[in-house]
Amino acid sequence: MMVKEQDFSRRSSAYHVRPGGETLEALFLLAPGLILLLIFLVWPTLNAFWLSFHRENLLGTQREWVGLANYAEMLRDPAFWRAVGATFLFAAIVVPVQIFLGMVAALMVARPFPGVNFFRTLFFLTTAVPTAVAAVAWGWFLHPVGGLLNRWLEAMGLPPQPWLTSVELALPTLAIVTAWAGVGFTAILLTAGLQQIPEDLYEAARIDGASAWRQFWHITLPLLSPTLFLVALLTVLNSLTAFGQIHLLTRGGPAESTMVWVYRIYQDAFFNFRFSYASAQAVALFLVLLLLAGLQFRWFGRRVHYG
Amino acid sequence: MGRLPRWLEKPLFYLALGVYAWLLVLPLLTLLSASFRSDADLYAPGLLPPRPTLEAYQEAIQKYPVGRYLLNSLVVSLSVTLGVLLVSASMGYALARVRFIG
Repeated sequence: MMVKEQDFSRRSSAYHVRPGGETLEALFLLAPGLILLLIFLVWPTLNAFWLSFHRENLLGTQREWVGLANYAEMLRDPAFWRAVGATFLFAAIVVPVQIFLGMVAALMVARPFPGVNFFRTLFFLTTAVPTAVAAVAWGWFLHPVGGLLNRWLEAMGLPPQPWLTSVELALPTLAIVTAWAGVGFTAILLTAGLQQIPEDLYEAARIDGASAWRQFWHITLPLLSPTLFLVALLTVLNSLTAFGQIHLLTRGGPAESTMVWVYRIYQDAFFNFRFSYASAQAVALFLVLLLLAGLQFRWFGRRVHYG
Repeated sequence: MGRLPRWLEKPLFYLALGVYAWLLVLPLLTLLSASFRSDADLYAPGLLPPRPTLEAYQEAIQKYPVGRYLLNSLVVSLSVTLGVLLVSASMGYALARVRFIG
């Protein structure tokens, strides 16, 4: 520890101080944030972890150590596996749709033109509106009777669809809503990424007679890959933990067709009052998310082109 | 793939952009439209309200303490912003600039 510290301060002589000499000061500055993190993040997390090895009565007044029994029950529970399946199906729709829609938006507004800020604002609106507003808007847009979408389908001679109330359609529909809510955010990140790409690369490509399509595949995509990687990572994690829109639009129904992992946890904890069982599922979800993030870093993190 | 005439490029770009942006905000537009409809017109077809009215806004202001809600939001957002700024600034400074063990 000490050796490392000395090496570090020798390199940056401007900050040359006795190693560890400012530890007290640093602790003082870090304290407010660390204390908040400890109280509101670390402690509840550890608590949930601890709880997942127990069984308790309804009021939570008595606890009994049961070891891995909750986890064993989880692995045997068909409802849990249905939720896991629904979660990954959900993410498998959200991630490509959100990245595609965001990419189209970003490509359109990355370079300035008259009125560009107006369109940037419109695109960002999808993310800027609160989840509750978005859910009400979509609930109304998809309304089986008065909804605009079904009205249009009817006008085109197609049968109206029960978007949020059919077992087959509810999950894909929710996935589209979730992707939509992320478009603004994705578009902002990708726009920033696109603006980092030097214009002269395109100029050179144009002089060489490269088509717009080839410019996109050979310049834009490789140089955008770090941003795309970040976007993909965030989108995957975000879609696997989606809750608000599901809670507001379908509550896991109809017939549990939109009962994703997070919603299963919520149900078990706050409707079935099985906090310890819900904790076990939450710990499992956390481990899966950690694993996925790690895998993404391993597989794609190295192939990303950092220009 | 044949190239488009130059004079067409700009209008086509704006057209595509407009259609895309319109489709993206469409759910929000239906919400906006519904807010200007009377209860009787709620299910009337079309994106535009047939008889625009401020009834719904009037009702919301009369029935609910909207001012109080606004104040609540203001209190929460202001205190969160201030708190985050203070705590994060001090943490950020410590992590980035202060040499310490660990």
